[in-house]
Amino acid sequence: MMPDREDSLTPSEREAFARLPRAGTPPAELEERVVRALATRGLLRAQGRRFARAATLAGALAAVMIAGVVVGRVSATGAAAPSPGAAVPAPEGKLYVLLLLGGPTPASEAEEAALVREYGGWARSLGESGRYVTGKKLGEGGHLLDAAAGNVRADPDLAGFDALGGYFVIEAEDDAEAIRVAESCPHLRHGGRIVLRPIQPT
Amino acid sequence: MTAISSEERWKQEATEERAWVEAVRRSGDEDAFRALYRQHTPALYLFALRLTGGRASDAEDLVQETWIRAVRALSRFQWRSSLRTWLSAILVNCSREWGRGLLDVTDAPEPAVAAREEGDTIDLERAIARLPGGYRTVLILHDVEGYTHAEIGGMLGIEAGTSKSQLFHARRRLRALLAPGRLHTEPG
Repeated sequence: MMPDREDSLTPSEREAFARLPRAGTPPAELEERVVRALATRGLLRAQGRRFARAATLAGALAAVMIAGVVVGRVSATGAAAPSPGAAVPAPEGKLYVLLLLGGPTPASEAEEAALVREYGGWARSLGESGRYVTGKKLGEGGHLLDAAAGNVRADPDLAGFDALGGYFVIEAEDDAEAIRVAESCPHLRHGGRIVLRPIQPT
Repeated sequence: MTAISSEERWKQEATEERAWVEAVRRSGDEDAFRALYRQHTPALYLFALRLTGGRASDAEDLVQETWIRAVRALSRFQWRSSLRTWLSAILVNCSREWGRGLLDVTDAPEPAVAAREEGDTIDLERAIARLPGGYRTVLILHDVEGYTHAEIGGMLGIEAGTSKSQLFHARRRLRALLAPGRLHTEPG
């Protein structure tokens, strides 16, 4: 049985504790550091900015695509690839989608730039080998429509939404090749997960 | 001009705080976050500084991680406690997970020799900083921050009785570190 560990502070002890300060003076730069950390994680939006600064993988992908670094497919004849946004010619192999979950959260602009170069380089190599079809960044938030639950609800805070950052569609001969391509994605090296699914031919 | 009563001021501040929380929750409003940060960080920072035994760099890291987790979890905060209490609990959890030797709630042995020389006085803050991590945390939470043993138990994942026992040992150790009969704060 635990002994009754009860003792009280003496009046002078109580007074001494009461005199202790209740607030400190954090370094001035800590506020900017915290704001930056939140902003790079997409948790804050600065006033006047149209888009949240993205430092997740999705943001890196968006930067890659917007900059035109991701090149479309190169046909087997080596002809110039269609530019992003142009009509994509029918692929010759099977199509697969790579859903990118989680991944890196760069804490600085330098880290983000390095990720953009790394993912961009990988996407370029896919284009040059004729495997790249398309890829998109997903926006923040979202909705879950669940008729089976008896309702249709919009809840952007559902767990898992934040984890899905973007996707690629690739072309591969078969499942084995698709897996090899997915395994080469830098996303895995940065702690992310990839869901690889074949796209049903129509 | 009618002076605003303290109760009215409190209500006004509480209303403002809720508005800031909603603005951050709904749209990640940076200005609203900065208002919350400035309101709560001075206390959080000092709390973190005491938990880390005065290690400023660790305290800053803890404060940053606390805010990151708090903003992420803001959608689940339902005002069952004050925002300050909620933030403090997150900070305590952070320090536990980081395992910085802050919350090893075990019965550490008494020092073989008194931790002071005769005539040497150690102010209360420094004495608290010299306590073993587990004792220090419970003492800070109870005697400095004013949480009950039930609340401390909830934060640390221990029974209220364990918190009481740890506080007993913490106070005993603290008294051994301080000059006999004198308990004072640092001048200024």
